[in-house]
Amino acid sequence: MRKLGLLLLVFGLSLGVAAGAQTIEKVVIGLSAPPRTMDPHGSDADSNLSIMSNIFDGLARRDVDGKLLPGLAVSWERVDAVTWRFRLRKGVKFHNGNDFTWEDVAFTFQRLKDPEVSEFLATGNLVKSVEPVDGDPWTIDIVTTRPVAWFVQNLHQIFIMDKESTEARSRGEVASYPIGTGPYKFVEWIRGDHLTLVANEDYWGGPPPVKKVIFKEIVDSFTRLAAIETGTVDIIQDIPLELFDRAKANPNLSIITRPARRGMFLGMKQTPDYPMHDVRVRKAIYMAINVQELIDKVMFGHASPAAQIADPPTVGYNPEIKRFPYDPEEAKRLLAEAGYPNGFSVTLKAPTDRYPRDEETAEAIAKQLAKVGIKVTLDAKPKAMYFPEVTHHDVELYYLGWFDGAYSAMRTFTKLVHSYDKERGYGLFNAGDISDKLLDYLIEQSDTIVDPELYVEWSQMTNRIAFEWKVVYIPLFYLEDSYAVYKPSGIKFTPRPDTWMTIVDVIQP
Amino acid sequence: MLRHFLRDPSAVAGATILLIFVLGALLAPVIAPQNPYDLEALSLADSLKPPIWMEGGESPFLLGTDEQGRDILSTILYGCRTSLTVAFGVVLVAGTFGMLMGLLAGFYGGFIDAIVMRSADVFYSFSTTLMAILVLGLLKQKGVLVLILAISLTDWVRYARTLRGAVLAVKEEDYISAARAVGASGVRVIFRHVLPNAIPPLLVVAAVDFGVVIMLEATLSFLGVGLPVTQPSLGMMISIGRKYVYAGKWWLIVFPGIALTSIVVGVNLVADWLREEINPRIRRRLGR
Repeated sequence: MRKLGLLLLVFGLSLGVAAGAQTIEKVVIGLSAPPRTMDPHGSDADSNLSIMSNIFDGLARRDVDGKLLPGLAVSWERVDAVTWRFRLRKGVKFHNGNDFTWEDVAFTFQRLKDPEVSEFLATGNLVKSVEPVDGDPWTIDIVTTRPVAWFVQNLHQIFIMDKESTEARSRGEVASYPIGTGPYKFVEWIRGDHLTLVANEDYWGGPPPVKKVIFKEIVDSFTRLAAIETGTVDIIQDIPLELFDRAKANPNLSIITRPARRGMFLGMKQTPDYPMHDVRVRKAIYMAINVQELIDKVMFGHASPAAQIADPPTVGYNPEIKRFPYDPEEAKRLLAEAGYPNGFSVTLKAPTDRYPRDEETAEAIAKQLAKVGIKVTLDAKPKAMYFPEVTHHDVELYYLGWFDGAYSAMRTFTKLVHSYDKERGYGLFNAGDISDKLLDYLIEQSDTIVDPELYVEWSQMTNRIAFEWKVVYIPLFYLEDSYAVYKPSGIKFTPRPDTWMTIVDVIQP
Repeated sequence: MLRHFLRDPSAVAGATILLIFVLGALLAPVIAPQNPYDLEALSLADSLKPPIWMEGGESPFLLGTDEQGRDILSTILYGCRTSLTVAFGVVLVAGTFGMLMGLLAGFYGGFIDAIVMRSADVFYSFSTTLMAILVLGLLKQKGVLVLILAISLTDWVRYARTLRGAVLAVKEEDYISAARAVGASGVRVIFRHVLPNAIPPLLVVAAVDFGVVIMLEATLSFLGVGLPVTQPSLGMMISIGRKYVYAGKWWLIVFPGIALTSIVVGVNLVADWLREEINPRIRRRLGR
C-alpha cells in the first residue's frame, strides 16, 4: 500500500514537471502605483486600468505592441460619421456564470455617464444609444452624440460589466469585489498590502498559463528595489533612478527598459492677466530651459527630449516638429520685447510623488528660469493635493505628464488644448485656460473627418501649429519605463507600451 | 557662575560647539562659498560632486555637492541659520505664551487654572510632530514663521506647566503675603515678586526645549512639510541624501547628519550644566 502511495506520488510529481513547462504556479509583482478601486469605471488612472485589464475585457483589446485587437467584439466598422457597428463574441461567461450579452454593453455605456461611479464621463457622454441591429442580439450599433474619429481606439479601456450582478449589489460591494469576463478571477484585496487573482480556466481566450498572481503594493521605490533584490517579489515596476546603476550591477536582476509613452511638459496660465498670455513669453520660457541638462543631470540619462506631447506611435505625432533651441540670451531678448526686461515672478507647481524625479526636475527648471530673470517660487506637494489644484485650474506654471490611452493626439488636444467647455466636454484638463479660436476649430473639425489619411495629416498639422506657432505647452522629455525581473524566478517578461500589467500579455511561460 | 561654568569641561565643550554653529550661521552669507538658496547661482553641471579630497572633487565644493549642485558646506551653514532661527523663534513665542498662561493659572487658580490647564492637557495629548504636520498641511503655506507658529501651538504647554508649578510653590511664601498686605496689585505682585522667583526652572525648560525644537524642525523638513524645497535645512538635506546612500554617495547625508547631531549635543550639554547650576539640590550633592 505504501509502495503504491509512493508510486502515485512519483507519478504525480512527474505530471507536475511536465505541466510546469507550460504553466507558472505563481507570480508576485511589486506595484509602484497601487489600484484605488476594484470598480473598472471608478478610476481612469493607468495604475487602475492595468489591474482591471486582468479581470475585465473591453470590446477591443491591445497587445504588447499596442495594436488594437478584437476583444468582446469580434469585429467592427464605422457605418457613418456617428455610427459604429460591432459583432459581439458568443459564448462568453462572466466569473459568476452569467452570459455576456448586448445588454451588458448597453448597461456599461449607460453606467459611464453616472458621475457617482464613473471617471469616464467624457466617453459616457459621447454615447447616444446602444441598440441591436435588426433584432440580432449579436450585432449592435453604438451611436455617438457627435462624430468622434478615435471612438473605437478607446474601447480597450472601457471594461464591460455584468448588468445583473452590478445592479443587484451595493456600490461599495461592486467597488471591492469585481466580476468580469477576463482571464483572472478576483480572490482578495487587502488595501495597502496586496491583491490576489487566480486564473479563469474557462477564459474565452484559453486558460492563462500563470495560475496565480499576487500584486503587492510597494509604493516606496527603495523598498521596492530591496524587495526584488531579496526575491520577495518576481517583478517590479519603476526602478529608482538614483539606484539604477546598483540594480544593473546585481547579477540576480535583469533590467528591462523601453521608451515610455508619457511625455512630460510645462503648462502655463494663459489668461490675459498673466505674462504667459504673450506667446513671446511662452517661447522665452521654452528657450530658457536646458532640456538636455535636465535629462543628463536630473534624470541620469533615463529620458529623451520631446518636441510635442504625443509619442511616436500616436496618431497625429509629427516628426517634423522641432524643439526651440536652448538659448538664454534669446529668451532674455524675447522677455524684454514682451515688456519684461527684468523678468517676472511666477509660481511653479509640481507633484512630489507622481513621476520619477518630479520634484527634482521642477527645482532644476526653477533654477534655469532664474538665470533669465524669471523668479520662480517652487510649490511642490504630494499628488493628492497637487492634482485637485490642476483640475481646478489653480496653477500658473505646472509640471505634468500625459500619454493618450487611445493613441490619438486630437483626443489629447480635446482635453488639454481646446478652450474649456464643461457642457460639451472640451478642455477638461486645460488648466492653463488656453483659448485659441483656430485650434478650437481644427480640433472640432478633426472629428468629422472619416478619411483616415486626411485625419492623420489634419492631426499632424494641428499638432505642429500648437507647438511651433502657438507654443501652448512646453514639451520637455519622454520618460523611460523600467522594470526589474528576479532572474532565479525564470520568468520571461515583455512590457506593454501603456505600462499595464496585463498578465496574459506581459508574462511568457 | 562663570567660574562654575569654566570648571565644567562638558559645559565648555557644549558651549564651544554651539558658538561655532551660531557664528557659522550668522556669518553664512560672508563665509559660505555659495548661496545655496539663490537659484540663479546654482548650476546642474555641479551636481553630485564628491568631497574635494576624493577623485572628481572640485574647488570650492569642500564637502561635495547635492543633486541640484548645491555646495554641501554652504547648505549646512544656511541650514543651521534656519534651524537656529526656528528654535529661537519657538522658544520665544511658545515661551512667552506658555509663561503667561502658567502665571495666570498658578496665581489665580480656580476657574482660570482649570480652563488653562485642561486646554494644555488637550494640546499636549497630540504629538507635537503630528500637530505641526496637521497645521502645516492645513495652512498650505511654507515659511519660517509658519513653522514657528505650528510648533509653538503645542510646545507652549511645557512652559505653562513648569511655570504653574513654580508659581504654586512661590505663592505661599511669606514675602508674597507681605507684598499683598501692603496693598500691591495682582499684576504688580505677579511681575515683581512671583515671576522673578519662578524663572530659573523656566530657563532650564527653555534650554532643553531648544534642542528638542531643532530636532523637530529637522523631522518636519525630513518629511517634506517644513520649508520650501529650494531652501533646504538640515532635515531636508538628510532626506535628499537618503536617496543616494545605497548609490554610494554618502557625503549627501553624512555631513548634514554630523552637523545636526553636533548642534543638538552642544545644546544639551549646555542645558545640562544650566539645570545643575540652577537646581540647588543637585549642586549641593555635587559638592559645589
